[in-house]
Amino acid sequence: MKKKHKKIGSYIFLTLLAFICIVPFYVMVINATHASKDIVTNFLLLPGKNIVENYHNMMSVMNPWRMLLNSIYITVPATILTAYVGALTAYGFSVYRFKGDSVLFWIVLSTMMIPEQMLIIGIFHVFRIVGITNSFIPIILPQVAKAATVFWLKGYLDQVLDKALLEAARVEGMGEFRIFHAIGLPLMKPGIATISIFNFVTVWNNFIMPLSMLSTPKKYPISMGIAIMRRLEPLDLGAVYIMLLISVLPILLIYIFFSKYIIGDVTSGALKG
Amino acid sequence: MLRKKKTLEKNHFGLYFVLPYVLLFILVQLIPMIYTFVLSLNRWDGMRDKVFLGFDNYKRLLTDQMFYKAIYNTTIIWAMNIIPRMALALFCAVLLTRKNMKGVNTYKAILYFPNIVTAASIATLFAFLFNWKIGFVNIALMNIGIISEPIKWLREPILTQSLAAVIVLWMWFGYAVILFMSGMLAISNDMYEAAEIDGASEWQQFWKVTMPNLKGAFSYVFITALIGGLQNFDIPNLLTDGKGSPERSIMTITMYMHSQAFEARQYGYGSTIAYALLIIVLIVSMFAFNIINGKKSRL
Repeated sequence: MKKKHKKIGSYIFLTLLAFICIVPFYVMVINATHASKDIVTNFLLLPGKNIVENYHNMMSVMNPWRMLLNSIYITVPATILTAYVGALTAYGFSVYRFKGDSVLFWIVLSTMMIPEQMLIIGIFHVFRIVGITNSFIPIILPQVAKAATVFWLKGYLDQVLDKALLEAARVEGMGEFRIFHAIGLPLMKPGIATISIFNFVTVWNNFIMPLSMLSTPKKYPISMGIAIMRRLEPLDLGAVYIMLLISVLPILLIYIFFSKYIIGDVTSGALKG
Repeated sequence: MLRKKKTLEKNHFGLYFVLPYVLLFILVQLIPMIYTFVLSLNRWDGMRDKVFLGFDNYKRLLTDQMFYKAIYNTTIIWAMNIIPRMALALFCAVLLTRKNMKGVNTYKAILYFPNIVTAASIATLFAFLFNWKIGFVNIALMNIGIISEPIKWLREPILTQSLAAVIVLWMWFGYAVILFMSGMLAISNDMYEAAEIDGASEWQQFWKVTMPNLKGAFSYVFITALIGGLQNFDIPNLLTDGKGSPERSIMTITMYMHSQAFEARQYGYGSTIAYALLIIVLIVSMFAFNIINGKKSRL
């Protein structure tokens, strides 16, 4: 009998937590459909009819769609580059034993110890010196060399790679880089897929980099757009909530489609970085 | 012999594969690190000439009340959420890894969701929900009758710090749940059966079997929480006015660094704070590693 009580208790507790995780978003959605004056005075739990009005009010202040596009311009190249450079590096460490490989491996390891935020001032000025300001490049490049991605892919590759395959390819006269693209990369695909989803979300959500590197609002990604809305006075509450809704939607969609990969594979833990 | 030689012949290719990463490291980490240090020895507004100050910026930092307040704020927000976060995550992981639990994947998905949403969105959302005049929380609490006067959530320093801590907890406990769960699922049932045969209760089994085998996951969650907590920026920045209000109570180390460099245009002093952040992170990491490994050897 005690076991049954325990079981029911467990479900109640977990459901309560799940509820707490969802409620703020539910309120956000509800408020996005009500007029500002209603949000301020009433206890609202059901959708309203002002979503179109809120949308227009928001659009008169800022354009989140262009910001989403900017986010894509930043996040997609960053994710692809991180995956490719990560795969190259992981392959290099996994397949070859070369002079200085432990030193370089240690360098990759040590990059995990440097708090990325301390580099922002330096990155800003180093790129400024070469004439690059107010651009996506100083936002993308620093987020490409991710040690966690290298370790994740190397671990993955070590498990799935049979070196005999490489030897066979060499015997046939294939060059090393061709072997990487023909054999190594395809083998790493599942590992790359998993880590890339995390990297995508991390770069998409990054706020401090665009905040520090960009100076014209039309280049702002969505994370900056949220900050603009936060600081606006006077503001239309309905517009704020619908803006928040639009900012959360892409992530929600990605999550619904890819949650299997995201949740199923957060095992080694060496992912977020 | 010949086969071995052929493989060795190709080994130098490894260098080419690793080169792009190393080049990036030099461009976006090494050079900025060196330049930041150079800047920290100067006074510079980004336009006029640099003024060499030697270590004066560092001396200034050591007597800077705001710097110490930033360290205090960062630490207190972290300290308030780390233990509840890990305890809650452990508890959930235990519940979810019990035999015959239904809906485990759905629970996992929901509990982890706050972690995926942009921190900037969450901070802004909570800022408006907890606004004392127009926020949903006060309206709801007063309507239900729990309070009669609105609570000034973001006007009281301790409440604001607590709210920041709660938000971080809310965002990150699901991540720990997933890591703990995969650690727990890796523990073989034999160990639990053996303990049960020895007469251990579920509580005892948790401490004698589960916890020792979770060392790895536990350390990882703790250390990443520690390092992440030291770099807390998005949430405290957008929860209030970006200046740490009320009374600079949520001005974190990174916020101070950023405001000195990019708002006050004191790139030199901002760089000094950047190096202080680096040193703090390194020291705290080493400390944490030693504590965790120290415990290990005692087992």
